[in-house]
Amino acid sequence: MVIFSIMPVFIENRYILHVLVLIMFYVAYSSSWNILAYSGQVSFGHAAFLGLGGYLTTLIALSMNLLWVGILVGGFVAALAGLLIGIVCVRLREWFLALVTFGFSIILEAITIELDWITAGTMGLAVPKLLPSIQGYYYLMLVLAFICIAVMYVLQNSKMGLAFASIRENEEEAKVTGVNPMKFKLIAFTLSTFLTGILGAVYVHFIGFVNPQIFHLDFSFWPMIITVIGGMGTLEGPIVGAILFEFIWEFLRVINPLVRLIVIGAIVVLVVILMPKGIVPTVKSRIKQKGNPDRR
Amino acid sequence: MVLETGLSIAIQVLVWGLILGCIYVLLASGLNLIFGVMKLVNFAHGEFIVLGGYVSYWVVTLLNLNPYVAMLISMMVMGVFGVVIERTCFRRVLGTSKLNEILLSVGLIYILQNSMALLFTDYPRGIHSPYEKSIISLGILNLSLDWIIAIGVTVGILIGFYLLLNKTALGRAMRATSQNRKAAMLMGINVENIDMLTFGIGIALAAAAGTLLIIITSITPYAGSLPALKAFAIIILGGLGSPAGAVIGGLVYGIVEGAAVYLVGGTWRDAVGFIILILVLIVRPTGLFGEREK
Amino acid sequence: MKIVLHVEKLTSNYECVQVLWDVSFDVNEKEIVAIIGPNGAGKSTVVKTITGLCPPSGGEITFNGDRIDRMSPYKIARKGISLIPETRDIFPRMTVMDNLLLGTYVNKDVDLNSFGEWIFQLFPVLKTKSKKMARTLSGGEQQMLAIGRSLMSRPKMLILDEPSLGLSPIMVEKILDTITEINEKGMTILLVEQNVQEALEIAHRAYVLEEGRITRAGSGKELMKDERIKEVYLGM
Repeated sequence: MVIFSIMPVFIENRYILHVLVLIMFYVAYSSSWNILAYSGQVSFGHAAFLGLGGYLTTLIALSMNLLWVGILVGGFVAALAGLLIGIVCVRLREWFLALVTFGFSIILEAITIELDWITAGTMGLAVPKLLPSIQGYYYLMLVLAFICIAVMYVLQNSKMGLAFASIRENEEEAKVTGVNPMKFKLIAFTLSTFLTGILGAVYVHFIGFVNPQIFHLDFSFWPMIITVIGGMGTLEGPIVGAILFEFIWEFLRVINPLVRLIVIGAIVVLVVILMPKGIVPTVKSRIKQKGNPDRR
Repeated sequence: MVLETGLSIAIQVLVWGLILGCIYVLLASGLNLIFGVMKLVNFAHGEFIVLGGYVSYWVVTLLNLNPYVAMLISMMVMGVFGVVIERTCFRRVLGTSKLNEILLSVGLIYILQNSMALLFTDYPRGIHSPYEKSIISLGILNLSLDWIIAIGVTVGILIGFYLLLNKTALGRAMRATSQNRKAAMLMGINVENIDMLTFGIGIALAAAAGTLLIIITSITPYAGSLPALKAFAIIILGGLGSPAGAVIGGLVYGIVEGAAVYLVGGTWRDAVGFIILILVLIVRPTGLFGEREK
Repeated sequence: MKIVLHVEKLTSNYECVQVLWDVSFDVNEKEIVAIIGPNGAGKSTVVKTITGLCPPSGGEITFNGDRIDRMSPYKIARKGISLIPETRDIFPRMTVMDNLLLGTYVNKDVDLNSFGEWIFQLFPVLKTKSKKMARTLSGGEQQMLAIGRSLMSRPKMLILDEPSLGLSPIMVEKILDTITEINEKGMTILLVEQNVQEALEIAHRAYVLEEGRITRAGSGKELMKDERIKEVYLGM
């Protein structure tokens, strides 16, 4: 934590700073996705909420000249959408949920392109600057990432988190113990999508533009891939996953953009087959085993 | 005169929708089979579709064969490929969490899609069928011969598929495995072999769909994801595990999509299906013909 | 007499739900052997370990001289052991005929005509309902279908797990009579039953399983006269 805070002060290189901001972004984004997944709901269309936040803040900024308010509005609208989608999905089984969330992002992509008198369609909109320097963005993202991870931490150690986990493991049994799955599932949705909306808003301010691409599958899959590689449901998982991911992304940029996607795909396949719980849990249990040689 | 043209256009759109429907039916049936027997959600199905199309493309381009013959070759090649993928990747993951299965297929998407883009570039490819220019006139209708053949071939494949499932011992074993895996094992069925074969057949069907796609339009390495996801929506709509649902759902979806493109325009084409899916699921969470899960 | 199934010091842990401790027993050719005992004693676990549905943590299971412990279920089925599970596990969305035909998957050279006729003789209702979906059958009929299906594979040994469960007394009589008839034709049978009276009446020999251990063994008649068994299980 400390390292991450001090680092940008010393680094002057714009490029590296840019990458760091992105890492923070993905850490935060993946963590917020992780929160929803913690309740057993795996969203395949989280980009929808990212985009909602992004577009709303842009439109508000452009039309009313308000910056920070727009970000909050983005968050709230995303949360509202999350609530609504959550209501639809609560009764559905896992892959139905996956499809509906995915479909939602596709629908939003289409709507955004269609309503081009508001959104400028595929051309996208230029987004006004929020902060004067990259360092600023970095700290902002850092704070957001910290918040997301803190939320996850609190969740893991609270009664509500216990409810989430019990719903995830076995919804029927959770009901028996007095947990109301619907209520908690919706809380998870709203919380996760609120954070995502805010992240989307900050993100578009950072990169300077927004277009329908933000609703695209890739944006929906990255947090999933990152979190699962790192370790779903763990605190450190998104962090490890995001760093690894960005690393590969930038490192292989020189070689061939397609190859780097292949490599990411290969890593996912290998992790799923060999380390099904993700990198962090597997490493943790290996360390435990080494420390206690009698345990099998 | 206007009515005639209107009718003619309506029928053209209908037939085009039927062709799309054929593609979707092939996909949905394959996915249904894989899901029914293995309880597996294979999101990478789209990539196999496109790969099947490319195999046909290269068979036609390099060996100068009839595209429909190429389709059969592609089906066989891809079927084997499917068996290999199941054995190496999915078998290890089957039975662990659903999420792992989904993620494995997502990983495969990235590998396959980008390998194809690397090898074949994303320049759109299409196959020119020798029947391309032949038009059959039925009164006011002008239908491309290709379209008729495509429908005919699909019907043929589906009949074969149906016969396999219902009239052979192997098909019986597959159906049994999909209904009660434990009991199937107790009856001496090697369910892991059945898994491999099922996956291979499902992929072969996808290859057929891919070939049809590349004949009637063109494909890029990225063209597979959306049709596959739509096929998923279709089998959910038709009810998971219902073969009739897959066929009816596929045809209906194809026609609706065809109509939507004509009436509302291309951008909505993809969204329409998901909108319908969400609406149906709100009302009936198990789909239209779905089996009620205990 | 030739030993068909030999179970020695079978132990299982919580992976198989119930715990077994050093369970040993034999089934001889053409015998009906019953395992009786209260609910939760581990009877189903014995069945599951023999048929490969769950792995034992210790001990040996030998069938006709071959070690079958830890073999996968389909291989064990192919060796000639056929299980009719407690839950019947017929294939619901397949016809009665298809269910029966599945029995021949394991043993392709079954002469369907003559053999099928015998099964229809045993269970006439299966012939009348042969084109109906299996899930439309009543509990007793499903039991008959499950037995018929197992017989179709010409097994060397049948295992029946709680065949009387959920059936009316008349149906129970019928099923048990049928089991006796099948045995008289030469089939080796292992019967796991909660209904002690009925089980001891048709079994040649029986073992009592209590809390994961075999506590008593003997012929059917001996055990029926045993004081403790009469008191605990037969309510006398």
